[in-house]
Amino acid sequence: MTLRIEKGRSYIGESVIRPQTTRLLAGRGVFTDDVTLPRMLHVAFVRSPHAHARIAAIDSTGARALRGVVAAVMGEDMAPVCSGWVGTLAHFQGMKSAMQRPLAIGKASWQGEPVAAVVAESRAIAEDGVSRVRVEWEPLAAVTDPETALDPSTPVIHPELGDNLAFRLELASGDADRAFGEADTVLSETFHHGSPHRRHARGAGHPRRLRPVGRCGAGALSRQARAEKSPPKFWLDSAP
Amino acid sequence: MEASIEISLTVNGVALSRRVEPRTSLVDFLRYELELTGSHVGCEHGVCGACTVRVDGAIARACLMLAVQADGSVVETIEGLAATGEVFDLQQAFAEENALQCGFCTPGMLLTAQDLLSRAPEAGPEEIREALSGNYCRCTGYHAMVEAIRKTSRARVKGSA
Repeated sequence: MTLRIEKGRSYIGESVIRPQTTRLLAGRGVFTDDVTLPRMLHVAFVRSPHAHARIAAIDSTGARALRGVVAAVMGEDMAPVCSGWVGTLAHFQGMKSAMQRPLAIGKASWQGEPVAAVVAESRAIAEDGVSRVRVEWEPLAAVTDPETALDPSTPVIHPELGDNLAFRLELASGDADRAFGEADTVLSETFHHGSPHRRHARGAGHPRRLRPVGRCGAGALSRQARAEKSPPKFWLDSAP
Repeated sequence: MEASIEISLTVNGVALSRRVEPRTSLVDFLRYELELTGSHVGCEHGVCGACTVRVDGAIARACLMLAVQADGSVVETIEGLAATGEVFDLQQAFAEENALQCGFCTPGMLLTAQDLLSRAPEAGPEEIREALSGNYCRCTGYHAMVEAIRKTSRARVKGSA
């Protein structure tokens, strides 16, 4: 039944079994979480339980004190090494979106937004660390209804954007107004749909191996960096 | 850290003993301690079915069970079912019907389908859909799986007649 791919042969109309199928059916696929690297560390996130809230105070001392925790970082710690990104699409002219940072700074604007990350020797310890990060939340009004999002009484979620409008799109071809005016019947309808985003069952991710930048090996570099009181520089490399 | 506890169990036909932390889930034990990574962790709260294994003959969500609860049990995973050839025809039918894409849910689907066919050898489409309703697939969809399971069912019934 398995069809081998041969050069010069046409497969149009034929049922071709993909080469990876056999191992996937035997439980021998390799997904992100199946990969274990030497000295691999695990990260767990502290997430906002509120759709919109100010972070009045955040304290990771308890997490850092836990044995096996390597680092506990917050938004301000990440800002110098990761600038964040603005998720707009060039073909939607005028589309605007707030800067998304790896960890929220000052306030969370959606439920589940990560505000702190705990890195540890095992996932269990990382999660223990997460439970020891203290966050003092000041909940703000949540905006959940797109139909009232532009009302003057609705709070603006990202003040730097001016309003809650992401973008406006009007599709019209020819003289639309005239066509509607001359039509025998005009139907007006509002459509509602669910989230169009597809979510994987498997966690999306990519195991990474840190590779030191410089002339010496990783151990030597980190020792040297400690001596110089500056963090070692690494760049990410796909693993393995 | 909590003290570890010694457990003895049979996994895919191999009798073994290990020390585990009481909080270790069965699926984490299988995946990280025994390196049987065919059982997957999707939701970690018993909803997606990707971690489905067989414990003492019955299918179970290995993310909802602690490793210490499997002490003295016979545990079978996709690796075991694949190695003994027990689900060979199901695997073949899944391949032929293109009932998988990324393959993440597939081990759980196979375990669930095998469990169904062992209880109801002539299960109809409705029964198959009901049986698979606790296993999430986020790529292929369920239609091809239902077809693959029906195909296997028909062949098995015919073969045993």
